Amino acid sequence: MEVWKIVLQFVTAVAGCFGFAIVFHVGCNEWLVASFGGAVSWAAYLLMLSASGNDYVAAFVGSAASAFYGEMIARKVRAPATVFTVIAFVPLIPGASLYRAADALMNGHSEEGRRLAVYTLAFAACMSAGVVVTTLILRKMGKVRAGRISG
Amino acid sequence: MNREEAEEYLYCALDIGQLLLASGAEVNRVEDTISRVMAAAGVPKVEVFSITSNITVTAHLDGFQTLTQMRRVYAIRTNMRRIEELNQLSRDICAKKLKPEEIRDRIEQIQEEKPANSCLLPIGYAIVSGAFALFFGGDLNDFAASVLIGFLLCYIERLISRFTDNILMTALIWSTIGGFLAQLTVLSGLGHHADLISIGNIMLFIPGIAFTNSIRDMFVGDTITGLIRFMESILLAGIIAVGFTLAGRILAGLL
Repeated sequence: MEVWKIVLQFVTAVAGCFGFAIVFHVGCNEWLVASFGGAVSWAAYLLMLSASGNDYVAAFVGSAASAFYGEMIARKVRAPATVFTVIAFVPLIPGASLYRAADALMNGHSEEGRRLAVYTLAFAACMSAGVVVTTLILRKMGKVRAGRISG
Repeated sequence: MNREEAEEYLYCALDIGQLLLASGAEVNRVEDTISRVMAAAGVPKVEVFSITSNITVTAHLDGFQTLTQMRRVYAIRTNMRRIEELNQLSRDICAKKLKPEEIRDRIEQIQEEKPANSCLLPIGYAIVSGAFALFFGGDLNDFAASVLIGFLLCYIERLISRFTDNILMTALIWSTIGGFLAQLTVLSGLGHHADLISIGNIMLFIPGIAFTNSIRDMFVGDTITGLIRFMESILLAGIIAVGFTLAGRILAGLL
């Protein structure tokens, strides 16, 4: 891929996250921090995609990165992590393929529709797994560390 | 603690839970918050069960007394700021042991607070639309068309929601209009690719986040909630596809 295309992707991904931060009523002092998460998850996704060549593995790593980012920022600003995690994984959301699957099925292209539906489902499952695993690990670690400090 | 006091605390805890759910918080956050608030009030044994549309709580008091209250949640609109504020409130309740009247005041404050950026909402819609039109490979003309349509769609959505609060109905009308507008911008020469213009607008309403979160709900054990959200997002995606197909077919028939 040419460099300008990657740059354009990053700029539009962050802009998309920024837009969603407004649409989801994130507090305005957190807009920039939240949308920067989009760059983090997209970078992790692209790196993993070129390293492994597997879309699903890349989705897992990309969303794991967004959950990591969300948890870290949430600890800094004492806000719920979901705010930052959800905004950060916006560029990875399989919204386009979910729409294309429904569109293909509606127009009678059932073969294409089924393929896209399975892809969307597997992609979303990998993303959820990435978020859940990362959150669990980080919270466990956080609790252990907090215990040591207070103990 | 006497029964009346416990009832008051439970009422407040459910107010917080109901607002959290309606603002798009995860079900396990709602359950967790209610148990914590009740524990801070001095009722350590509470049973909470919540799905996307319902919260049921039973609190166990001394001497085999139980208290049960239930709430129904109808519409969910994501409001992150509200989730943050309610989260802060529940922390304060745990730390400062607030009285029910104080909790009630804080909840009222949070409820009355208008979303600070409600006038910015159309701009948010425009940014999302334009960004994703470019992201999926549109050119500058498609970008301009998508920004314009995204901006308009925010007002159109507000208008539709005055007549119906059925999400599927809203989505059908909204997506048909969105499809028409995209075709019109191409006909007028502003846009180049109707599908790339529309994909920007579709990203606003396609339940991609709800779909992903529904699978996450199932991962963490909230299977019923996950299944409800899963079905809702598939239906919604189908309806949006119907709307855009309808617009394309009607216009093709007219021309």
